Amino acid sequence: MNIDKTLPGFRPSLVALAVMAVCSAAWAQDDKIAQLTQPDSSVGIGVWGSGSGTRQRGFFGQYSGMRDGKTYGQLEADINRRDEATGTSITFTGRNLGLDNRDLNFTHEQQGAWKYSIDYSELVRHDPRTVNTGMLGAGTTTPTVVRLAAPGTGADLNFQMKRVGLGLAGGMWINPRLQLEVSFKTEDKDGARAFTRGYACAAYVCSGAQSAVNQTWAILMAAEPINSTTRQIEAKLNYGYQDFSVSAGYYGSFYSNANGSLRTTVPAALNNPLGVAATLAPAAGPGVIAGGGTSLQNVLQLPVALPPDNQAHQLYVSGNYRISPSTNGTFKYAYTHATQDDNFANAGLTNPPPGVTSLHGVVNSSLLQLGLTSRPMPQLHLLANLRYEKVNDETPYALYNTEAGTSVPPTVPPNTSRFWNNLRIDSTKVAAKLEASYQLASDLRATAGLDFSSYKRPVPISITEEELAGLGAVRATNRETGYRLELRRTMSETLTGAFSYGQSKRTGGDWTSLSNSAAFVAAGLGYGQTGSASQFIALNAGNAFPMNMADIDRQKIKLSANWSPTELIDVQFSADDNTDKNATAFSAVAQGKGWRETGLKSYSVDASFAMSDKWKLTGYASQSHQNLKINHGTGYQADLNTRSDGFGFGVAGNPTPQLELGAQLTYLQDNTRYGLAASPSSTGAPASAANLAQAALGLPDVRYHMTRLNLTGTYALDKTASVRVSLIHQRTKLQEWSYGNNGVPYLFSDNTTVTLNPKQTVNVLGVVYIFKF
Amino acid sequence: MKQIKWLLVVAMQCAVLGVLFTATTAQAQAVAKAGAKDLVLTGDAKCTACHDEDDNGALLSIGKTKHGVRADARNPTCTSCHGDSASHINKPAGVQQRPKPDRSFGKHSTTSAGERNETCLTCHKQGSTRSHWEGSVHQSRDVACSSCHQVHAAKDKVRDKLAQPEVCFACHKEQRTQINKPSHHPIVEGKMTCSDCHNAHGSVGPKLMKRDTVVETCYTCHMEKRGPFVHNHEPVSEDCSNCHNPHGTVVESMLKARPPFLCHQCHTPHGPFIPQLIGRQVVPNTATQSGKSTTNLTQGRSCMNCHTQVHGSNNPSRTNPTPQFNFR
Repeated sequence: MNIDKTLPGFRPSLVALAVMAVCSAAWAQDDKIAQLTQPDSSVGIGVWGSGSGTRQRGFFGQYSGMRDGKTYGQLEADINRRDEATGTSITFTGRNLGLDNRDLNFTHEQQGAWKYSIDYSELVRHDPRTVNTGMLGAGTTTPTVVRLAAPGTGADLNFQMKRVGLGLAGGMWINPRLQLEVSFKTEDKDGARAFTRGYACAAYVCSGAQSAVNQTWAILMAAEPINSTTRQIEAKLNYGYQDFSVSAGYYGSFYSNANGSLRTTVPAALNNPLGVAATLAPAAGPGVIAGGGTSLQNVLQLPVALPPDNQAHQLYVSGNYRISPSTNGTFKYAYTHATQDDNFANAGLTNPPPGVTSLHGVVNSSLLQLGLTSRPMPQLHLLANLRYEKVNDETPYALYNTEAGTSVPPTVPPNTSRFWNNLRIDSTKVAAKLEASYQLASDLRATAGLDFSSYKRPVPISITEEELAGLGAVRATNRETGYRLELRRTMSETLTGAFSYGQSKRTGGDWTSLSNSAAFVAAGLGYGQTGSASQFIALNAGNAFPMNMADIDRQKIKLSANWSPTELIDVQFSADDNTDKNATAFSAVAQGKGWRETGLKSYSVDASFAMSDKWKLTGYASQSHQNLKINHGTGYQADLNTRSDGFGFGVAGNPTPQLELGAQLTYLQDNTRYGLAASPSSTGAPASAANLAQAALGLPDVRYHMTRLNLTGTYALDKTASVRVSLIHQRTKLQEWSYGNNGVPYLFSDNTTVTLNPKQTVNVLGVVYIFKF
Repeated sequence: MKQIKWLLVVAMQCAVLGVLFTATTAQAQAVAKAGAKDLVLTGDAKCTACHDEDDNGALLSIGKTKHGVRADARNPTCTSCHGDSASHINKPAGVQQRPKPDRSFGKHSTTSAGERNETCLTCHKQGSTRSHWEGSVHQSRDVACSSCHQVHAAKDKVRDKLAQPEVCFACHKEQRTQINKPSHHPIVEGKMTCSDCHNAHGSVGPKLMKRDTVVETCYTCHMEKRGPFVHNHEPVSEDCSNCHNPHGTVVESMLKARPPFLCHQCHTPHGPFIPQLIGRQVVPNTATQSGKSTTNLTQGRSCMNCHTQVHGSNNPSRTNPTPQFNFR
């Protein structure tokens, strides 16, 4: 019998096929895992385009890099390479490379050993407004004002400022406990921004009364020239061992400005209040003030000091220590030495005090912070923190203001034989808090906290110090103490909520007088003398106390809840009510002056819903009401109310494996009402008829509406290529009156006007081809 | 007969292939369960044997992150963070539902925020950026690292400049509205983000400011405001947020209120004065109109039409009318 010893059909090739089938499944599996676990890279190239005009893009184009032009190249990169054997990686990212707000980063590191990176960034801020002016050399340090024959007949200027930044950073682990980090960042700013130059003549400076032919005041729209560099360098050593961690370092920051002063050339005639050319007021004679005054034209041509070069060096040590398994401490000490010695003459600034070439400003500050957290028992968490900061301004005093000689007629306060020093900015700030949190039950936690802060600032003790204008009095010290309570409760597996209430009171020491009037001097409250707010009010019912020094009663209430009925749905709710009220003494008849009250109520609801594995919805609605009450000393009482409504709705999904879609709608409406009333007199008499009528006419609301729709779709052409299409539609509407109202422009004295397209609609379409590797 | 034989052979071949395939898969699982084949992290096999690419591929994306660099011996494995989770791996008999891992970090985690954070801080405590986490507002309000960070995601949202604000706005709702106001920092445009000014991991400064004070933080970009000047404006040196809301406002320069109202909170000169607009006046401006107390104080740049240098002036001039006086 001839027996075939091989099995029929059982060929090696079939076995190989079977093995290949198994192996290819394994390879496919490996490939899939590699895709999921290995860093990937992509490069995108495309184009953005917009048919909307430049004046439609005032708001959208502020920082987006798309203020002007029709089309822009789009280049982006996200390259990640990693050597698994050594843990060395290289990343390169580029964003908006075709726009004027591009970002580039390169990082090379061996994780856990060393790292360095290079950052490059550009950003142009385009002012949304357009200035129509006759000014020549706008944006330089020596512009020339040219009065336009008629408004709107000049050249259009759009101020812009470009920032170019370069950052270098690096670090290395010297050993497992010690790390060195260094960074350097430099940023150049170049361009111009809106600025003004204005002066209303004091009688002892310019001669003659205001009339159709003698113009005693002028306001000019100028451009602040910007050409400066900021540099920051930081080097620190981080040490960590067991329960102790500390960082010690140096941080230096340096500002240099190529522009020392703005010196404007001004014509001899500018607009009078009716828009007609009038000669600027001549100088007051030597009979009015010793040596004579100066003409309005000359006043306006005096140099304006631009920001001076300055620098600061800081040394610090900071860290934490685990004192015991349940107790931690934190600490920081920092010492900063800041100086400003920009040469006045080099900046084009003249007539400093004799022998003084620069401010020689020196400000030394110290900061100390100590914190402690402890969990003495599982249910109890304690926290204590103390922060002390002292700023010593050691700048030498010099007489930077002198007004000497005869003044006829005498001014009040008399502008003769007066002189003032520069103002120093010393301060001491202490902030402390104590907090205890206790788990009352597994689902209920209560937190109570006490807060304290104090602030000490310099106040004038003699009239020879810096003139502080338009203030009733100032205060050397403020103290604030407050408490807060919070309850957090888990009401069910799907619902948690929290309620908090806080109250605090800011008070302070006596007020320091800035008045040398006979009544104040007689009452022992002459310049530099101190007394209570009530004493000041008794002498001047309309005395205003600065808002950053006034007594304040604060209250904060917050309610929040999170509801997650299923894994797919999340809902958040929060409500806040914050009120700050001025608690400084005031006259019931004249009523309080300056800042009186601020309140903010806000509500928001957020929700997200995962409809399926492929689709997710998100949305929010929020509303806030803010009010601000301010009373002018002798004019108006303002009650400003702002309501903001915001909505957002988003959809993201993958309808097919190749297609990703996203849509985000954002809406904001902000409306401020300027409630105005005319103040009664200090004796309670009604305001003048003119003031009552003007207050009744009031100010129009300021309204802002913004709707933005972002649509994005990405379609995968294959495993390595995809196309992304983006559409941005933005509508903006701003109704306000800074530079004109109801078609009536606010005219600067040279007929310069400033405009802004109140309704703007922008459509931008972008298409990018993305290659992945 | 030949046909029967052929059918038998084919059946045998199928059986062999089936056995071969089944054996391979079973062997792979057995090997994996034995810890021989890690997918992403060193020692992850006891987890990835079940939580593999078919279970939840997104979990494996941790391999793309810094945690996935195997050459870095400091890096964790699954159990470093999630705990040994013995009962989760080997479901105890008689238990209907598999117990959760010892520590979980998801949205519905039952692990306390403190325990979750302690897990991260085991490695991430060192360094100045997180040295003040303990005692920070976020720590004391039970914010967990995983509330903001997506450890398994290839791109952690909160570490991306464009996406980070969305993470922060999950709690800070008011700021979400403010950044869309016309005067804002370029946050919407992706050129700045929350962490440029705030250190969410705790800082010595107020409001989790990145540097030690509000003004120092602002000076990192706006150093020209630091001075000191010949004529300093005290509230400016004290705190920029006395006048500015850096998250955005409708008023230019991110001012908290429109001048003159902003300035009149402290100063109330040039009265009696009612804010008024050109073309909306009971008594229109005349040729003798003063430069003060009229539309000039309400429109244009308001008080700053004349008092241009509100951040401080370094003009040393002593001559009348002392143009630097009152920040002109």
